[in-house]
Amino acid sequence: MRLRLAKEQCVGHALCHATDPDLFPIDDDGYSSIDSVEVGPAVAARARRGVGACPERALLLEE
Amino acid sequence: MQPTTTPRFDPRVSGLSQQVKTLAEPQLVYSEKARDVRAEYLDGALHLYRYEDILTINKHQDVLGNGGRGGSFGHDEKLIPLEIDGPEHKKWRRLLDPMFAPKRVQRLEDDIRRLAARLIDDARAEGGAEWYRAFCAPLPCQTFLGLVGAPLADLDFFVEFKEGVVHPKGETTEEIDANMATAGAKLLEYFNGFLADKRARLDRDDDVIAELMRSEVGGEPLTQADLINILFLLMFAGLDTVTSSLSCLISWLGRNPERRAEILAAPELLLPAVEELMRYESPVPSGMRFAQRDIDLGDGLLVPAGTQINAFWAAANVDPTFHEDPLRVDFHRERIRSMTFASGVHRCLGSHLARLELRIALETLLDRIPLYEIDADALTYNNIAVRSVTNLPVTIR
Repeated sequence: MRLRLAKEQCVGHALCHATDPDLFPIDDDGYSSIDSVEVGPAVAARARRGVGACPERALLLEE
Repeated sequence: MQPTTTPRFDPRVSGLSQQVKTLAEPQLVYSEKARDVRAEYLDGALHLYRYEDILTINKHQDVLGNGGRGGSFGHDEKLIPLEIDGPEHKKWRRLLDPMFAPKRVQRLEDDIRRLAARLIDDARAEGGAEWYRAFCAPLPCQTFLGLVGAPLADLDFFVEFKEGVVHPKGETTEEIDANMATAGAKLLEYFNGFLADKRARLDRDDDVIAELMRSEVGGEPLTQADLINILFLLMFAGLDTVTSSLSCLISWLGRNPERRAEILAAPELLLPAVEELMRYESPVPSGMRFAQRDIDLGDGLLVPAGTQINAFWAAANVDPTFHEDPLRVDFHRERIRSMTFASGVHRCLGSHLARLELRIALETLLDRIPLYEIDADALTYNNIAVRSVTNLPVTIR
């Protein structure tokens, strides 16, 4: 599956990063620096947690 | 924006806040409002209670933030960036965001930990103490002085004027504003002196104000007025909110010792517990938004151009149409989405610093005095502007 960031929706809550700093990196301003990454089934649960933590729904997981 | 004749709404003296003024658990009212009412006009402001509606409004390009009808807080200018909008707002956030980003505020961790430990030990030495004054208030104040690079010796003086500006006395908007202006003038004098001192030793300091003095915005160095403005913002937005949040969290854990035991048994729960308790307590209950054009929120809810909106983050946080079992405080929640720090472009600039302070304060407290007791009957809640527990007697056995 694919993890994607709707960049214009990110306002820097950094809550995805708090759930998993490796899977959800942020830049020096505190905004998500993900563009679009392929995630394997092994990290699907971690990906879902981070996506679910975004108050803006800026992160999307496409199956 | 269409001209409007509605008098300006002041959430400190009108609207839903007045109905829940001193309730220990306003969450019950907020949750029912979100479930049954969705939206209503009170005292001329459209009150919004549901998560999805508020999220849409916060993201909407035709909506202005808290300063949509001018500055507040007894300061003539609009506060940067809280009360400005559009490209000007974007410009300032670009400068300020990195200074308050998670990695950057992390640098303050050791200082905050030492400070928390010292305050707790001092309070413990006294036996019983009132913790709003002994701990919740001084911790963010001293953190602020460190952040802006002001001498710690200024603490008492600073706290006195800060109280006068952040908690001005008065029952009407006019009384409140007049008292606020008096205290504001004294604070302005202090800030001017502080900035002059700082300019003299600029190359040696690396605090936020020194960095701002060395920065440019739109190709120009910041003016004295800009710096004063930002100092006022940091004070209004950053001191009282953390003090109040701390008082809410310490009270909640004090009233629910069996839930505190969960965290003591599994310290990794502290981080989700802070997040979940901040959702439930929602210390900043609402914010103002202003619709510049007609906005359709769906299912028959239309927000006409010119509407002043009182968006209740606290209701969105316990909205049963969005959260599962919202009135249950659950440290194991799979997903905690909250409006605690608002959303959209005006997302709280200091949210990462606030979270850091709260986490370290509770970590230190639970480490040093895990079994503190509070007198639940003596707690005094105030839900106007910022929810806080202003009388918080803590006993240590």
